[in-house]
This record gives sequence, structure tokens and C-alpha cells, in this order.
Amino acid sequence: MFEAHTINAQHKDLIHDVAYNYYGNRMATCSSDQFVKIWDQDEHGNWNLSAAWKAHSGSVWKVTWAHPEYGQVIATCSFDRTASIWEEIIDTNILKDSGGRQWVRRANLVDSRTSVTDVKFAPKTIGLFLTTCASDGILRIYEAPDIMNLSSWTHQHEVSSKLSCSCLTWTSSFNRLHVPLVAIGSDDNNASTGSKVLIYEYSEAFRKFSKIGDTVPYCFDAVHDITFATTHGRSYHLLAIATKNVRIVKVKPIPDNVVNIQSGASKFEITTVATFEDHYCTVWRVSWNVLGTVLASSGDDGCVRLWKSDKEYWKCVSVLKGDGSIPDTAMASDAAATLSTKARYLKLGPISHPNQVPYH
Amino acid sequence: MASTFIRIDGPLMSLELNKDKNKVAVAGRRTFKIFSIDDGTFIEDLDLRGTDTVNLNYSFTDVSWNSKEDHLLATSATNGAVITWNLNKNHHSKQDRVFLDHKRTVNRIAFHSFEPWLITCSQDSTVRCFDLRTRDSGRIFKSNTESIRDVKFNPHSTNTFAAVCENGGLQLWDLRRQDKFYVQYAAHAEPIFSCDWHPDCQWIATGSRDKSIKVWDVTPSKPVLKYVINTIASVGRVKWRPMRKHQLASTALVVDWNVNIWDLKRPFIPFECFQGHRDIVTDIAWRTDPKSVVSCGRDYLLYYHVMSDAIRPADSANPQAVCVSCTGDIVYSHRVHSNTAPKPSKILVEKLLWKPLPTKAEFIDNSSQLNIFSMNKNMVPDEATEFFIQFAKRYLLTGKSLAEICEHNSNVAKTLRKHNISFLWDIIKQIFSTNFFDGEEILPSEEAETVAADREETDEESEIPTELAVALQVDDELPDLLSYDPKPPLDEMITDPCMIGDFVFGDKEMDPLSLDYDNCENLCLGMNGVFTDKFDLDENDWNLPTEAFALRHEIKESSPPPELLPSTLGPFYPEDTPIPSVKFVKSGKDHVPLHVKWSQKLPRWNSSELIAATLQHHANDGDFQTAVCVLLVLGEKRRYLTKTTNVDEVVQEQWLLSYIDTLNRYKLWNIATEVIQLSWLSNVSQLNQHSTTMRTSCGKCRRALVRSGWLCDRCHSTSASVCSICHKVVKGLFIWCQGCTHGGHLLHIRSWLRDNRLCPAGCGHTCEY
Repeated sequence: MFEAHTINAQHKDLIHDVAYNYYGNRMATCSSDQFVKIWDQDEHGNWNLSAAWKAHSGSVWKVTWAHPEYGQVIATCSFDRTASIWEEIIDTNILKDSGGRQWVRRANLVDSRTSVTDVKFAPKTIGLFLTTCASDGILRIYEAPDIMNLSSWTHQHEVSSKLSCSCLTWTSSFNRLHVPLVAIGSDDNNASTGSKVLIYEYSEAFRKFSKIGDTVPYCFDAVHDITFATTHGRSYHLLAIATKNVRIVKVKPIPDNVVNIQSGASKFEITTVATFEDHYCTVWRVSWNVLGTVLASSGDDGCVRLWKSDKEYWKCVSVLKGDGSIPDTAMASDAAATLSTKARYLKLGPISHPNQVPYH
Repeated sequence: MASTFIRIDGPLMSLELNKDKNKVAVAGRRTFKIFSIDDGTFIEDLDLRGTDTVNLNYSFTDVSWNSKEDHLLATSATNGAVITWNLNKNHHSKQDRVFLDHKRTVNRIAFHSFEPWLITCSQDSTVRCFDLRTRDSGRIFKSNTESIRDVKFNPHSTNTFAAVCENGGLQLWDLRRQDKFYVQYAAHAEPIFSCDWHPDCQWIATGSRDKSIKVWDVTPSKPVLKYVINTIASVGRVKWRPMRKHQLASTALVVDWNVNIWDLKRPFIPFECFQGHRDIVTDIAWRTDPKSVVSCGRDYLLYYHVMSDAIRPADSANPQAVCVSCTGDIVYSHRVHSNTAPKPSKILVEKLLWKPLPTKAEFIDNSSQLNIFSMNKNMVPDEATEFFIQFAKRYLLTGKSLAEICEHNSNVAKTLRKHNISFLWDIIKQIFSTNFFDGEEILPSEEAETVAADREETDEESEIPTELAVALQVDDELPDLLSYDPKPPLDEMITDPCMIGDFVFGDKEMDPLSLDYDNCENLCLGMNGVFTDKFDLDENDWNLPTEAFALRHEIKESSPPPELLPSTLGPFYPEDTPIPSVKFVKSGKDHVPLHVKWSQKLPRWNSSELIAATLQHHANDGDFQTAVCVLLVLGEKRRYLTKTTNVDEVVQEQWLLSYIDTLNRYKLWNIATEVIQLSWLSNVSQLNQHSTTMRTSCGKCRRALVRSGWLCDRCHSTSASVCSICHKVVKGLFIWCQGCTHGGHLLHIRSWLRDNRLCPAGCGHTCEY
């Protein structure tokens, strides 16, 4: 089902993040060697290096693309305590193989006093906003008031979580009544500091974050990655958490009544939907597909595992090995079988004639 | 033993350990003290400066401790004074000699490791070497640069020293040749602030404002760059780590308040960091072992760091990355280990859930492999995104009658083997393409509903009452009334009862659990949740036995109706309204008492709840495409949903916008535009009218014309929009020649050009329009 291609990225150190753009035809990689590289896919599906530059003076932890409406824009964050916004411009004076395209630094955000561990653009629906989180636990939000001028970013708000932050994610929903949420994960190892996933709601009226009252249950281990699925048609948000295991958490906004609107605080119902122990070790990253139906997770076992929902019933649909080999189907089904004994889900009923059940 | 610190009464500039590394001298603008380090704590031994003096000689910039004779120290000051101190003096002032030869600030001083020489470097661009045995002003070395920032004797050769300059140059001097350095090399592009000789080999490390530390091998005649370390800030100090050939410590001049220890083998990220200082760290010194460091800073703190308190930034860095593209490709990068040690088995890993600290070897092991897993295009598409695109392309949204569209879409779903979706389209067609939904008072529909509701409740076995089945029954009866032709699927259902047990019931007999969860009022469990909700809400309308259960799975096209259907059709169909009430009472004994007042007019069976719930279910399942397309196809009929169900306009807008956004992502612009145009919500339908205004500029002052196309707000002139023929201002369409910019009313110009070729304004231009 999957074919594996290995790209010789030629980064001189670990690659910490890869990100596809909105259309999936460009890819950005960033590494501890302080370089960011941009890869373009040609019409034959091959990936070619289109740009590489030294972006920071420290390890580049994360890279993320802005919505293409704002141009070809990426944001990076680094150990050097800064986050940068880069834009690709077409400069006719440079006649290179790249067709005169060049990435220029539009802004450098230097407010953090510690390593900036994650950077994310807010969903397009609320404007051109950028959020960063740092290892001293401070979450910052910046706004570009003029979307044509990417070099001017105003520091809108900051909130301190008092826990060393490792990752952050925004919800993305087109529902006007869904308050935008930001979830941050902490890699703090101390279980006594409470839940390592904190959720903040962003009030557009006041341009500030406020922590929501409900916490994500049973999440006391260091969190390495956290991602909201695009909400699309759902009436709730799905949050994937990479910690010692993979977790999927449902965050359901409870419709506001008048009192709540006045107090300004929304209510949420947070439930754990699934927990998978299959990686048997630290899980580093989680990523949703565009439709929010498949979750990919990767861990120290060197495998990418794909999880898919079948009516509230999440199961492993494939295992991809990091060395490029793809386990044969027998192994995959074996893994699925192991899962069925490990994962804590609610079994609704057996399917007596699987061949009569439509493919989900 | 933990790290400790002591607060001193002034900002500190420099520190130096004695020969035995058990005492430390610290110097600052207002401070010069000696502490002994005992078991990790600092004990003040001597305050050499005193407090009362304002002598500029005591505004210290650096301190050095003679490594041969433990009682000798030297300090340098901002005014250029170099003072030697003798701790063996009996007088309370231990000051020994003062050299006032430098005219400007002395940056660094250093004793030779065994000769009685003291070397100094200054802002006055000179290096001086004082011989402590004589009274003269020492040998002078003129560097030909602005200033020398650091100077160090070569520990491997008696007579040479290195000096680093503000212009980025590295100079090597021989003490016996005063006139000129024997090597000069442009080591950095910016000022170099610090240098340090490697204790074991002929390497020299330089730290510069250009945020890098460079390691040079000076054995050859020209220094060879061995390693570069990129730090996050200007480097203030570098110090080699004892007993570790490839490691050194550095501090920064700005931004970074940590002491960083670097490994040359992995020059991008500090191997270890010491935190604690709250301002710039100005100087560091290693004790004899490589596991403890003394540092001082501008924050008045003197710190004793032990290695166990160091943090390792590389540990918290994630070694993996994974991302799923919108086409379903997965990119995965992960650390690859160069040593091919056998991987620990799963069980072993499980036992070792805590991770031991990585060794240095693991730290250096730092390459990643980048893999892309892409869909094999030659195989059958088996991926949600591929289905999404296919559906988007093939679905019909408008242009035909509702029944035809539904049928078409149903067939699309069928060919893509999504039978549940296909079936949904069939149902939509059955419910909405007949007109029983229009108009409240149409008799046939009422009758049909009555019968439907009636059958629902009187059904003894109560196996039917899934609304889907009801819907089908209703439709099944309608043909006669509405001359409707039943679809083949219905026929199949009726004539093929053999699968009932399997499909309809087999899957839901386990339902106690799901019923519990239904109470959480979520609809995600599928039809079950929908129905239980519905019963609560609609009690006034009609009631169903509570053990009625619903389809959890969507029904495949081939799934049959309950086998009782034909038999129930017979007895109950001809009966008219009074009779059902009797039947109802009869059946009621087996079930929950039903309180429907049959004397009243029967309310219509309202399928909108069901449809809304079905759509919501699909949307929650990630299939918002189906939900949106059904809404689009329904056209005006969707208002039943809007009015009565929780699929209100906000939810509809959410679905539409999500669908449009996803279509854009797959570059299906035409379909997205079609959706926008078909949209019934103003928020959505205005999407493609944003940013469609073009403004012209004033012909005279080039200012954008905001208010109208013919009057400029700035120059209050309409001259640029005067018709060349009638000389009046053109307030409507203005046509002009792009060659000479003259023009006017469309009609005037047209008639002019019928007879003339030249410009009507008389400019002589041959106009082209």
C-alpha cells in the first residue's frame, strides 16, 4: 500500500521537524545543523532540494508553513531563543537554478529568554497570528496587523504556564461558536507538577488566552508532541498526544448558555478516546491527516504507526518501519492483534461476517 | 554534592584559581577577593581591595594567579594600571608593585606558567611583557590593530604567545622578536574576545562576536581551521575542558546566561549547560577534575557548578519527525545509529522504560534518515483522501431533479464501494424527492405518516423500528398514492430476507454498553445514539418501545428490511385512523406505555431529526463531504433541518467552509466555486466576492480614486476624466487610448473612430482601441 523512498537530506545533524505545505507539494526540513531546507515535488513525484540556508545560530526545532493565502511563508523556532518568519520572494536579479527564488527573513522574534520549542500559525479564520512557546513555559502570540507586511509583528499577549513547554497546537474549526483553543504540552518529567497538557482558549475580543477549567486527565508524563486534528464537520475537537504512549483525547465544547457568555468562560467535556501502548517506548511525534481521520505516530521503536477510527473504535491500520522497509501484511495484522489486547477501547460488538461490512 | 553559589558585593569581571585549585580570586569594578573552596562552599579568605578607596587602579578588569608561586597575583584595571599582589606581605595591604605603562584599559593579563613573566594586552593596541624581577616597563609588542582583547602564553613553548584582536585577527608572537608577529591570520570577521590554548596539543580556540568558536591547529606555518562551533550569542570566554580532548566551555556576552560545554564532534548544540546565573557570565575556570566549574557573572554571583546539575539540551530535542501530507504521503525522519548494535528486544525495552543518560558516544551519533512513504498509485486507491477527491469530482450537486441527482450520487458511491453512503443517498431520494414533505396539509402524506407511525408502534416484535426501515416503509406505500416507482434496492430488500439476522441484529445485540454511552448525548456511536436521543425529545410526537434498537452500521445497499415487513404491510395498511389506536393499546402491553393522544390529529412523521442526526454522524466520523453534499442537493428542502434540528446554520456554515477549504487544498477550484455559488448562507456565498474591487488612479496626481471614478479627492480635478469630444466629465464608462491616454464617452469615441483614425484630442496620435 505504501512505497518508501529515502531522501538524502544531507543535514549535518539530526532532523528535528519536517512539514508539508498546505497543498502537500512542498516540504520543509529543519535540523540541529541550523539549516532549513525546502524541498519541492516535481511532476513525477520526486523531491528536489529547492533552497537551503542557515536560518538560526542554534538548533532549529520546528518549522511550519503559513496558509498559502499569505504567500510562501514559513516560521521557524530555535534553540537560539528566537523565532523567525521567512518568505520566499522572486528576485529577477538572481538567475540561479532555483528560478530566482530566494528565502528572506522577514522578522525575528526575540522576546524569549530561553529556547523556543515550538511555533505555530493560528488557523486562518482568526487572522495572521503566530504563537510560540518556550522552555521557560511562556506562550506568546504575535499578530501581523497588515498581512502584506510580514516584517511587522506585534507582540499581542503572553501567558506563563510555569511548566517547560515542548509543543503547542491550535484547533482549526470553521464553526463560529467554537472558541479557538491552544493546547500546550510540557516535557517536564516531574509527575507532581500535574497534568502536562494545558488547554487555553483564545478570546478574540480581548486578544488573550485564558486557561480552561477542565484538564486533560491522566497525563502526568512528559509530553513530546501534541496535535489537534482539523475539526472539519465535527462537533468536537480531537487531540493527539505523544507521551509514553499515544493518546487521543476528545475535547467537546458544551454549547454556551447566556451565563457563560457573560462570564466569558466556555465549558468543555474532555474524555480520553483511545490509548495505545504499541510503541513500547517513548512516542515522539504525532500527526493527523488532512481529514482528521488517520493519525500517524512515531516512537523510539523506529516505526510509524497509523491509527484509524472506525466509529469510536481506533485501531492500527499499518506499521511503517523507519529503515524504509514495510512489514508484510502478516506482521501488520499481528500488530493489530496485539493492539486488540492492549488498547483500552470499548468493544461494541463482533462483526460476524466481515466481508459484508462495508470498508470504513 | 550540589552546585552552590555566593553573592558578592559587586559585579564580577574575572576569576582565577590558584595552583591547587582550592582558592579562587575574583575581581570586579568594586571587588577583589579571595575565597577558598571547601567541599563546594565558598569561604571568604581575604578582601584585598578594601571599600573606602576610589582609586581607578582598583577598577579591575582581570585577575591572574601565578601558577608557580602561590602567593603572587596580578590585576589589570580600566585605567591601564597593572598591579601585582603579594599575599605573603605582612602589611594589611598586599599590594606589591604598580605598572602604569599602558595608557588605556588593560583587557587581560596572564602569568607565564613557569617564567616570572607577566603579559598584558590593552586597548592601546599593544601587548607588554613585564619581567617581575626588573623594574623596567617590559617588552612592548605593537600589533598594528585597534586593540588586543586577549593574550595567552603558549603552554607548549616557552617563548611564544597568542594575541587576538578587535579586527578579528589571530596573531602569534615570539617573545624574542619584538618587531613583528610571526603569524597573523584573519580568524573571524568580527572582534575576537577570547582565546585559549589546548592543554595537550597545539590548538588554539578563539571566541568571537560573530557567534562562533573556532579551533585552529597552529603547528603548520599557517593556522588550519579544525572545528567551528556555532553558538547562539557573541562568545565572551572560552576554556578547554581538562582531560577531554574535544570539549570546551564557553560563555556569552549577551543573551545567554548559561555556561555551555561543547563537544567538537557535534558543534551545533551544547553537550551540557550550567544554568543559574541571572546575568551575563563573565569568566569561568575549571577545577582539576573535568566535573566542576567555577563561574562568576555580572549578577554578583560566584557559582560552583557540578556536572550532575548540568542539563543536556540534546536530550529534550526530539530525534524524530513525522508529517502527513494532504495527499496521504507520510514523511518520517528519525535518528540512525551508526553503530549497528543489536536492537534490544521489545521485552527488554519495556523493562527499561526509564532511559539512562546518553553517553558521549550517543551524543555524537547524530545523523537522521528521511523517508517518504507515498501511496502506490498503481494499486486500488485505499485512502481517505483519494476517496475524497473522487467523490468531489463525481458528485452532482445541481442541475437535475433531486431524484436524479440522488440517484447519480448513489451510483457514484456504489462504484467507489462506499455502500453506506450510497444507501444514504437512496434514502434521501426516497424521503425528499416525493413531495410529501412539502406542504403541511397534503392528505396522502398524512395518511402515509399515520400508517407509518402506526405500524411503528403496533409492531409486536418491534424489530423493525429503525427509522430507516420506517422511511422505507413509508416510501413503499407511497407509490400507489404518488405514482412512485420503487427502486430496485427496495425490491431486493423485501425479497431477500435471509440476511436480516446477520446484518441488522448481529451487530447490535451487545448494546447495553452503547446505551450507557448514549446517555452522554453524543451521537458518535452511530444510529443508536441518534435514536435514543430522539425518543427523549419527541415524546409528544410519537413513542417507540425502548428496546427498539437501531442500526449501528449504515445499511448496505443489499441489506434487507426486516422480514416482518411484508406481513405487516398486509394487515395494517388498509386500516384507517381509529383502528390504530386499538392496535396501539394492544401492543402497548408489551412495551412501554405510550401516551399518544390519538383523538388528536396525528403529527406528521418528522424525518428531519433523523436526517440531521445522520448527517451529524457522518460529519463526526470525518466524512463532512457527504453531509455537505446532501445539504447542497436538498436545496430549499434543507430548511426543515435548519428549523427543527441541531444542524443549524452555524453547523451548516462550518461544514460548508470546511468542505470549501479542503477542496481548495486539493486544488479543486471549480468544485469549490460551485459549492460557494450553491451556498445558501450569505457568509459563504460572499466568499468569492471578496477582493474583487479594482480601483483606478487619478490621471493627474496618481492618487487612488476612492469615492468615484471621475473626481479626485486630492486635486479636486475632473480634468483627467473629460471626454475629448464633448468636453464634459465622463461619469459612466470612460474609454481611452492606451497610447495617448485621451478618450471619452464610449459612444462618442466609437462614432469618432468611424470616420477618423487620429486622436480626437488633436494630439496627432493614431489611436488604437
